[in-house]
Formats: sequence, structure tokens, C-alpha cells
Amino acid sequence: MAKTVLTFGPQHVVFPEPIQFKLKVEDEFVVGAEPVIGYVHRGIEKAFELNELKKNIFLAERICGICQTPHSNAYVLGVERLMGIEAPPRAKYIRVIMNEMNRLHSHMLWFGLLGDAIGFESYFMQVWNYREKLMDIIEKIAGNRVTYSMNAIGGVRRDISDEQAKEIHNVMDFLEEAFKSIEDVLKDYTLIKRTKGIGVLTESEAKRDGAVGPTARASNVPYDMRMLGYDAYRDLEFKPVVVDSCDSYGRAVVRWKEMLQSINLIREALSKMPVGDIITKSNALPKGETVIRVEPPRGELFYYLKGNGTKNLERVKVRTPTFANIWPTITMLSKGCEFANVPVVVLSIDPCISCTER
Amino acid sequence: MPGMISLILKNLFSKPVTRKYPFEKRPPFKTARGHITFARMEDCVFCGMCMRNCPANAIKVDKATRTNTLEPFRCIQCAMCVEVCPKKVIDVLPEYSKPEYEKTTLKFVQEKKEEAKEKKEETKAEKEGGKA
Amino acid sequence: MENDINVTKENLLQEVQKFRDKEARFVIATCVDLGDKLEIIYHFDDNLKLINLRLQFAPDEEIPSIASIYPSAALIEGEIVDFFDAKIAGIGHGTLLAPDSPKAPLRKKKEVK
Repeated sequence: MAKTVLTFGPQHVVFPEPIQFKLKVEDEFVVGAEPVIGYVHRGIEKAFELNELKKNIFLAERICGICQTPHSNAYVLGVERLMGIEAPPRAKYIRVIMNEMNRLHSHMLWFGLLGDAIGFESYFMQVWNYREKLMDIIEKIAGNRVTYSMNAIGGVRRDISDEQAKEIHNVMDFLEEAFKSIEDVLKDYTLIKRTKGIGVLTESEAKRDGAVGPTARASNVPYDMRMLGYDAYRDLEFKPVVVDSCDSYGRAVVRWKEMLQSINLIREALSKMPVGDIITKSNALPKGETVIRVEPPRGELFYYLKGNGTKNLERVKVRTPTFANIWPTITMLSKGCEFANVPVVVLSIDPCISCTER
Repeated sequence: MPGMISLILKNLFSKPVTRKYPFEKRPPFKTARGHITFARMEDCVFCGMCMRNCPANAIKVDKATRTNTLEPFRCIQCAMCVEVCPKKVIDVLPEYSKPEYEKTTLKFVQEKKEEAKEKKEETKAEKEGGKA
Repeated sequence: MENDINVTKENLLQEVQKFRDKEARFVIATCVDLGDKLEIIYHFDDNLKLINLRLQFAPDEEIPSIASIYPSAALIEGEIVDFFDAKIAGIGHGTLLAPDSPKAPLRKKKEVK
């Protein structure tokens, strides 16, 4: 049988960021794939070693444009552990609230992109309209819509006042009402036809290839780093959302259920938040090695930090969730996927390429 | 089909969600981080804390000519200079800066030395009057 | 760090095969420049517990690749070869850096006084 090699990317109407897949195609079916990365590499791991401790928080935030808060949260947790200090309880609750609002905005952005990929443009515009209310309340609390800059070594920089807490409750009620329209779309005949049975990843393949995040949780594998109990998650009721349909439709259902879970976590955190300081000051210098793992919207984020007793860190290693999800995508594409379904399969892992290449 | 008709009628007779931008602008929120300015230069002691803590190296402090230079196109509006200044000279204001054709530099100069000397003599006289 | 196991390049593949039999997940491999030697730490996750394998070697020694046991390790080993100019069996240059980039950018340069 004759085989052709077609290149998919780096510029494509479906992706917001550049990545290339070389697909081996036989008639209309894909039988093999090879990833080519490196289009947006910026050398951030080298820049971490040249800057001082406090300035690196802003550098860590700018690795990704959608999941900034977990990156700065992981860096700050690592430095605090090397210095031997801990943030006060009110700061931990504020960090949890900002992380869950980040998860809400990221999943809403993904639902819009899914509508755009299968041709449902008006759904894309509706979901991003609901997202604007959330971005407004985030700008009032943090000062900026995209780079929140709320974390500092030893706590947080800004507080949440009582009026802002009331506004957050209003926005959560509005969003819960709006999500009923997302549930209607998930039962729609066209969306089910385009996503059910596409991009199958079985449970043993997910464990062998190292899948993380909603990609693994839709294949019945319960990996979620919030179970480790960092920040204030150990005081909140939390269980990971697991579905066992193993295809792209299952990943959409996992993200929709996580959005509802985030709304309940924010309401619980606001009611249990204690009164007190928001920062612990310290002049200690970091020494030793440590590993921190947190959970951004796409999966498991891994930070390795090594300090040597000076104001500059010796080595910082960042491994983002999309880096771990590239090999499962190759497995999913090589099983005889039809050529017109390739955008839906690649989009179902929620790719964030500027995170992958740093 | 009946669900679609009610949806069509609702969309025909309601306002659009977008604003007509250059004619209608949304006022900025009070707690937004828009741009940085040196608001009270008369209190500045030129210690250099803002220059050392800026992650983007956008501030230059010159004690000899009593001038602070700010490059607004390098600034990332993080407001670290506002936090570390011991005399609270710097303010962060909520309006975003407008786009321009060339990269500009802003200079903030402290007022003349004679007025500062007069203030020093006045406070010295008060102290001696109090001791005696 | 806790849960550390030291390995040599001869028994590396044996130890990694034990993790594969337990169905542990391969998280990532970190490379650190210790001055006169390079150190690679392989991280594995077994039911939310993190276990590390440490391997130290001289910069011009060749070490085996674990891509035969965990196929997803090919990407990170390509990155280590690009950034540190290490020699890993079967992995070439060019995964992340372009051909005209500076060579081995993350190695610590010896200062000339």
C-alpha cells in the first residue's frame, strides 16, 4: 500500500500555538506520527539562574499565558520549603481561590475552542461572553486580567475584602445558571457524533505513556495532585473526577464536571477563610534540593529547585503537563484515525505549546 | 423547531453584547494596575531601592543630577517599586497607557536645593528653641 | 531528598524494569551540572509517592537510554542531549534547539580570571 507523509502545522487554523506533526497517511487513515517541537523556545531555565530570588516570581508567571497562577504558586512553595518558612492560613485560602478561578476561566476557554474546531462558531462566542464576567471580577481583585501577580515569597500581596467576596458569590451564581446551556450542548446529536469514539486511549496505554490531567482521568486513571493537600486543599472536601469512556467525549465531560466542582470549592473556601496576616517575612537564604507538584487545569506541573545558600538558585527544572501528554497523542493518532478528525484529537488534550518549550 | 423560533425572536429584539469602542469607553476599575508614575518627587532620597527591585530594569536613579528616569515601554506594571519605596514616592494608577509611534523615556526631576536648605534651617531653629 | 536510590550505568536498565513491572509512572528526568560530573535524576511516581534514581557520570561517557522500556522518555533525553551535550545511546541532537544555536547552553562555564 502506498504511504504518504503529510505535515500538519506549524500554522493551522485550529491551534493557537505552533507545533508540527508529520503524519504517515495510507488512503485516508493515519498510521504513524512524529512530533517536531522547538518553534517558541525562549531559554527560560537559563534565565532562572541569572536573576535574583524575588524577580523570578514574575518570570515563572510568564511561562504560560493561560495557567500563570499555578506556575508562580509552585515556585513560591519550593522557595518557602528551602528557606524553612510557611505562609499564614489566610494566605493559603486566598491562593486556593485564585487557583480555582484560574481553572474555571481555562476550561471555559477550552469549551470555546472545541466549538470552533467542530464548526459551532456561535457556541464559541456565547461561552466566551460568559467568561467576561469572570475576567472582570479577577481584574478587580488582582489588578490585571491575565498576569495576576498575587503570590509573594511567604504569602500573597493583596487581600480579598468583604465587598469583593460578595461579588464573587454573585458571579458564581450567574455562572452556575449559565452552565446549564453547556450541559444541553453536551447532549446534542452533532457533538456526540464528532467526539464519541474518536481518539481512544485505553487504561493500560494511559499508564504506560504517562498521561496526566483530564486526559488520564477520562481513561479511568485517578491522578490529581490536589490529593497531596498543598496550600488549603487538605481542609476542603475534594475527590477527583473520573470517567471511564476513554475518548474525546469523556474528556469534555470531565472538564464540565470539574467546572461545577470548582464553583463549590470557591464557595466553601470563602466561608471557611480565617482572619489574620497575609504574609510571613524572612531573610533566610535557600539551601538544598526539593520537588514540588501542583495541579493546573491541564494536568500535573513539576518543579525541581536546587539552592546553594546564595541569592541566586543553582538549577530550576520545569516539566509542564502538555510535555507529558505528547506521547499519548502519538499513540491515539497512530491507531487509524481519519484525517479529518486529527484536529479534534489534538485539541482534546488541551495543548499549551509555550508551556512545553519554555 | 419551536425552540428555534423563540431563540430567533429573542436574538432579533435584544441589544448586542459588544460596546461601540472608540465612542463608548468603559471606565477603569479602581484597583487595576495601569501605569506607574513618580508622584511625590520632593520626598525622594535617591536610595535606589526601586532600581534594584525592578524585574525589567526600567528605572534609573541618578543622585548627582537628582533625576529619576522611567522607561514605560519596559515596565511590566508589577508594582514592586510601589511596595519597596521607603518614602512612598511612587503611585500606580488605573488607566492603561496609550500606544505610541516611538519608544519614549520619562524623566522626573527633584526641585531646587535652596528650598530644601531653607526647610533644614527652619527645623534646626525649632529644635534649638525646644532644647533651650 | 527522601526516597533516593543510587544506580550505576550498568544496573540502570534493571532498576527501571522493576518500576515497569510495578506499573509506576515515569514523571521526568532532571540533569544537573555538578562541575566535573553530570548527574541525571530519574523521577518515578508510584501511587502519589515520588521515588528518585540518581546516576552520576563523566561528561564524555556514554550511558544507555531507557526509551526501550518507557517510550515516552525519548523527548526528555533529546532535551538533555541538546542542553548539556551528554552522550545517550541512540539519541541525536536537534530536538529543541536549532542547528545554529549556542552549544550546550546550560553547562556552567569555567571563569577565566
